[in-house]
Amino acid sequence: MALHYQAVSWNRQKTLYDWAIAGFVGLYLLIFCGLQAILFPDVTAETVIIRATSTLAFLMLHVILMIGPLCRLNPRFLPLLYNRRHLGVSMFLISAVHSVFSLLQFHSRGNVGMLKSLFTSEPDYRHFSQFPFQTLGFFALLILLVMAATSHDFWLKNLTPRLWKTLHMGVYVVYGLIVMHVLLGVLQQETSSLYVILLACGVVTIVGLHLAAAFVSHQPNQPAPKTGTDGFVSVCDVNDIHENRAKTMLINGQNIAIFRYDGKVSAVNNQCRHQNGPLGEGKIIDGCITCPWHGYQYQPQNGQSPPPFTEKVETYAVKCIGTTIWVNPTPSLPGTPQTTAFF
Amino acid sequence: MKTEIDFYIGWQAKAPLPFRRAVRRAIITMAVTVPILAGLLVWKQRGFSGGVFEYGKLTILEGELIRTPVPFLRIPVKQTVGNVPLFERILLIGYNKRGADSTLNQWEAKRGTLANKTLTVRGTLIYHDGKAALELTEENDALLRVSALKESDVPTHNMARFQLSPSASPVNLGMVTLSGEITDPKCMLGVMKPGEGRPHRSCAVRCIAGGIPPLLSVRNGTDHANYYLIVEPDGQPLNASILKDVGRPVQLSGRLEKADNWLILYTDSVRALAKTKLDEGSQIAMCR
Repeated sequence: MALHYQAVSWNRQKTLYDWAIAGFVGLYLLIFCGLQAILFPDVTAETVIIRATSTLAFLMLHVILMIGPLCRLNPRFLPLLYNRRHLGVSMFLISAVHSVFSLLQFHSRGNVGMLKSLFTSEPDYRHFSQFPFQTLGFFALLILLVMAATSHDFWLKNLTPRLWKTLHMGVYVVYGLIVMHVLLGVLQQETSSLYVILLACGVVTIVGLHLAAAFVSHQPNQPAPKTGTDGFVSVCDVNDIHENRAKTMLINGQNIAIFRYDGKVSAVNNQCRHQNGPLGEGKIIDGCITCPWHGYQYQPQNGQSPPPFTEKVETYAVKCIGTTIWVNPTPSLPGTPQTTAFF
Repeated sequence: MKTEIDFYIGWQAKAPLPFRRAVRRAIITMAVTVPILAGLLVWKQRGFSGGVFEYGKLTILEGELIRTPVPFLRIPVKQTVGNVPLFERILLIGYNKRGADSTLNQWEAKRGTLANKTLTVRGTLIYHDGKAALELTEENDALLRVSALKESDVPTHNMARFQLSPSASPVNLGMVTLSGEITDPKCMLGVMKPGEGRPHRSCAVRCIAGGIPPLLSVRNGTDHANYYLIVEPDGQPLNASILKDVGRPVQLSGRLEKADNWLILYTDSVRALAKTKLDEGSQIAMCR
């Protein structure tokens, strides 16, 4: 959380994260380029750069896509999620090196401009196997460029979290485009079955992790809540919620997180204002609901971030009758204080 | 603020121990996986040709200019037992992805017809598998001297001198049918590695569209390749009409000629074989 925009709000964990990225990138490039020089001394420097950066970027994309479902399956991997955007921007920069070198190598200094050459050199758009694979990589890079350029919190706030998140879901389109780029491109030349096996393992891992995460996150059908005459809905017993934790409910289309703390109960919208993170999976720390994704905080009784921060989420009226919690699923405006419900 | 043992917050100075352990495991897994992957990806490559592009090094050659069907500089390389000179042809190629014709035309505009005259030219050598090309890197400035044909002199330092052969005519080898891949000789001989295959296709298209004569690369079972320059049956360039077949398996039929160390195929019969694994395996080629 920050009051003013900075290029990067550095802290110890971000620094460690970035050192780890730099270390792995350096290690990969060192091994890849070193082995190329030893095993294939005839190769040209341009080809080494193109292949080293392409394989590295593709590997990084797999890691990026694995982090999300891994954290759903085991929240202890959340530190990997915390600074993932730096991993994404690094991946974009490495992809850009691959793209620029490929464009210069294959399309520059010809009888037409580079971009015209990119789209017209292979005109057989009708056949699957002959499809101009380089154009797929070009569009993947464009999407990555938009994502990298809007990765800062400035854009997150100004585009709104919903639009920003939708835009950044483009990473799945990128993955599909790059899989086809690899399949129709270099795998038509490098025909070792190992490459096909590695690609298949990558796709299966990504798809499998997402399916597993979806399965784990799927909530069994909740019993139909009882609706009272005053618009309140009976949601659960107070003992169903651990102290300082929440239970999430989907009522009348409202995604509600109901927190229990210090003998009280409060309800707020489940989506963090920052990146739509699941507040209901967060915890009350120092009296504030703390988002598990990036640590954004809100006061449970009014949905407002503690001063001087200004983020606000919708709140819901709550009451306790005995140990039963009742919630009015009609949202109040973000930051609206609610009467405290004691149990 | 006290660190919560079961809850991670990124902006805290230190992650709780269970989270640190999980991340440590992930980092160890990456530290093992990354080198293995890098090694496997390099190791299983098909390999690269031993072609040489003497980038940054200019060589001076002297020889007879032959303009058709493709531009060559014909130079003697040695004399056989019967004192018959043996010639080698150096394919002339323009700077960047262009044929030599535009540069040769500029030379002729200044100095008149150059065909069958002795030219001293400077350029960058590209060679592989007994074939060589000279990139006219300096374009207009690549032509150093023009003289009439004459008997040979003794070779001197870095300049290959030539002896004119009265019989520069190619030898007819008859009709042939060949299967292989069309690429460009500049990349194939060493400028790019690989200089053929799917990833290189668009580059070969650019080179051939720019006037570099197309080359048919025919591989036998032992991965040895023979190279055939391709022209129309009347010796005219077929660059424009062949672009759609570049970089894919094709079968060509036509008259074959041997011009010193080069083979030239005169053909207008190009048939795409379209034998890719994807087409055969999936049968999902669309809108065929």
